[in-house]
Amino acid sequence: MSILTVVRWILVLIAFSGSAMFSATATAQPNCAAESRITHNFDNGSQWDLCWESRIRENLVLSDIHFTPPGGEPFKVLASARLSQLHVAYDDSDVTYNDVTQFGLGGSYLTTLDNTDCPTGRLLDVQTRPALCLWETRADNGHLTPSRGATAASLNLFSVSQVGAYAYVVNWKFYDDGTFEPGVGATGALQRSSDNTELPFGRVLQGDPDTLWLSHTHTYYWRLDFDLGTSATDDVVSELRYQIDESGRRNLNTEVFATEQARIIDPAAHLLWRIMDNASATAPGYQFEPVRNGHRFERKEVEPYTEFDFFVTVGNDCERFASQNARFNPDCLNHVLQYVDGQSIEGEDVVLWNRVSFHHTPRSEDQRHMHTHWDDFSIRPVNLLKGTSGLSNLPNTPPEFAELPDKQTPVGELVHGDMIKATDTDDDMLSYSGTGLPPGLELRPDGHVHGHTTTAGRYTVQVSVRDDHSEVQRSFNWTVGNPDEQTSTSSGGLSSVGLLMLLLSYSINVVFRRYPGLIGRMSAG
Amino acid sequence: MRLTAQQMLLALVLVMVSSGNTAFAAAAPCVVGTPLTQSFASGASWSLCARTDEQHGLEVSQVYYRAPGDISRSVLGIAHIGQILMHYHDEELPRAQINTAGMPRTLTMTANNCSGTLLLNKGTDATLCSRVEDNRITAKYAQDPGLQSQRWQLSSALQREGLVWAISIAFREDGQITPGLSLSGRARLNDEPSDFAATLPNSGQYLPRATILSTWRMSFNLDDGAPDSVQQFEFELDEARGNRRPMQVTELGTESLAVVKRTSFRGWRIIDPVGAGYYLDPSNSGFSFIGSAYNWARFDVALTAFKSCERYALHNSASFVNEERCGASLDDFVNGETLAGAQPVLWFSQSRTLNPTNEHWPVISHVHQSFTLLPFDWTPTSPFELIR
Repeated sequence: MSILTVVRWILVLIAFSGSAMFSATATAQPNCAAESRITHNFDNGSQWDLCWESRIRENLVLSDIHFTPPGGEPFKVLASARLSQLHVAYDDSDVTYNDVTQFGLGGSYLTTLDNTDCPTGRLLDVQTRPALCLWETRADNGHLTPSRGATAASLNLFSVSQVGAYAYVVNWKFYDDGTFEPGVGATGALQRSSDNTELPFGRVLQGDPDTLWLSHTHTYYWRLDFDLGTSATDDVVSELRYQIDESGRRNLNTEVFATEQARIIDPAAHLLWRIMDNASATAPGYQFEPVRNGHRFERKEVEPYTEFDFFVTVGNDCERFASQNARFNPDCLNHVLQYVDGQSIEGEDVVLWNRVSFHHTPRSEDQRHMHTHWDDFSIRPVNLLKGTSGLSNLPNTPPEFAELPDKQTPVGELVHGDMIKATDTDDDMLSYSGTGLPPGLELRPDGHVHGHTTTAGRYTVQVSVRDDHSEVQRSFNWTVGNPDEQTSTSSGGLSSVGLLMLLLSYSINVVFRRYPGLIGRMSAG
Repeated sequence: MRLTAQQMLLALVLVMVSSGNTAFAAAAPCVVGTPLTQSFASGASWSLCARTDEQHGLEVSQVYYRAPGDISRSVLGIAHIGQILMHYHDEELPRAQINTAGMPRTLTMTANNCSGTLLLNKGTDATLCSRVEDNRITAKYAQDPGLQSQRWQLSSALQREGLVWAISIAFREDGQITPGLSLSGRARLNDEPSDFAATLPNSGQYLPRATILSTWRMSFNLDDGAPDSVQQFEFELDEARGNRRPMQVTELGTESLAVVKRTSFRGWRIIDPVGAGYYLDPSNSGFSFIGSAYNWARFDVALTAFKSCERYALHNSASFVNEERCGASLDDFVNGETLAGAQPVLWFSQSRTLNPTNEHWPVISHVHQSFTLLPFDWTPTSPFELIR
């Protein structure tokens, strides 16, 4: 075999392995049958694509989830997402339910829906009956300026599972700005009561003096297998926390995780977690801010994993449930804290687990049927879009500068006034910036110029005005000191060309003053 | 015009007289603001008085809720934002957004920034946006038909130094109240990279990080009549007794400060003499605003006896509250005074950090905070059972 043949084979192998990797990890579109695929386009040009299936235990499992920003390319977000446990602990500690693994949210627990449940949406069939509602809503996740406002549209996907007396509305919400929100609504009826109304573990409700309804905590665990971008194995997870220094400033500390983690929310540190597409400083990603943390369930003596709120593990298909996992995966570990065993996450497929707790104290209004109590959390994009969502869809006329005449100011003069002005027909808020101002002067964002001139010179000032959509630039000259003695500069000091011109001017002046008749002779000449 | 104690008393008397004669007591004339009502298909309705100005954004008073099948009953005497602190991380002190030099301005609401109905015109400019939106599924049991409901949201906005603060209160058909605050508008820019600013990959701008504290002031007036009281609920884990969580209810009899205690599910109930109440659910309190120069800002909750001139958690100076000599901040208001015979005022604070990304330039995507006031034994059963 010649050297050339060997090289050819190597190239073929490289090409083959490259394409194989690409096809395995960089699928641009969800890979599922048409009836299991949801594609939703929003007015702003963005799109969500995903596949869904209903399983006996978890019920809704979403997979191959892609987001396409307005005008952008499809970006893979998640390999799969699901509710992985629904833990209910009663305050008397007599009963604890792990609803997903003890009962299940799918199969016969799944409620058949009709138009009263999904009045403005579309019903999808799970096997032979409608059990999934798909509908679009608008919410306040947009932005607001003095002249414009935008609400964010979202795609909602929910099913209802009746487990005992409780009905759980499992909801997934996908916004047109790339944000998504897993959530559960707890409705139905109260489950457990006691005849002993003296117990301190619940409340006696109006109209039923002989029954004590027991307080309890719902803790929801979600399993989110992120596969950001084109590779499933290069995602980077970090924790950001703030610490106040002695002067009162808040310093950011970032810890990039190298191994599997179990983390506790620290409200004072304004802690958050990020997962980014790769290690680059400009990589896009997502962040979790633990806003819904006013209730936090701990019972670590009995269930050690309840000490923690957020877990980072290496993806393992048999690690399905946050607790009681071994019931259905006997060769695997039993709960999420056990999955965290120090394994390196570098170069691995990463799975994030997040939880939210809600303590339910019964109230009379819970009789007979409770109104839905929602618990959800937002996962927001980080540098996935190019700018504020929804702005580019709005019509805009750029601002126009008012007259900008050249200015002249003595050295040492106090300058103080709204000197830079522009108008905007859309009435957008305007902000100004500038370069090349005479030393000592400052242009504020509202167009106000302030300071004392310090250095003689002729300055070319470039100013910009920006509305919410566009930026316009103009320039003018600002002379400090005697204009007859100045030469144009652009940065407050004399440039080399300026210095040359100054010397040349000085030389000519000297020559002409010494030989005044030269002008006439040159003109005549 | 501001609400004095005498005016408040007069309003209460008017409302009590009115409620005896009609099921819709909120027809009482507004002492302050403009009367607004919202009725729902279920028969539920809200009525209140609303005003907007640069010191509140939005203020609601004489707030009445009528559950389906019930009469209209008073819930809140007054509610408004009591202060907003914006702490840029590179600065030593937070900037108070209300009642300081360079007051904010009330934003004009137009069809461009309000997708609902424009209200409260000042001259030709509206300052309040009113929207009615669908809630998600409100109740469901087995194969019974799902119950749907709506919410009525009022919002106004203040603008200060480019920042826009959207102040809203949502009134749900089932009696829940959700006050909220959103930061949007134009972020401050830094000229150069800094440890305290994020560099945005797309625009190359340097946007400083900032932490927000919003404080709401809510004076309850449950069912009119005698003053309400406040209870603190707590469910501390007792590991020594089988990991049980006995409920502890503490009557709060004097002015005090408190924090959200997440692991014991601490919450606060406002209750009238016959046991009807509302519950402050701190579920959305994920963050604490520590390290401030202001003592009160380290706490999530303050409880004070009602005084009309105690309106702002900070900068409550005489120039803004001109009727009586009052303290300058919550640290002055909370001085151990008894709540016996007084109408309680609940101050609730929430904090959140702006972590700038591409998505916040050139306009900050909403950074939102909200909490819920939940009817708690307000009606003997779910009032919606009647309409099934």
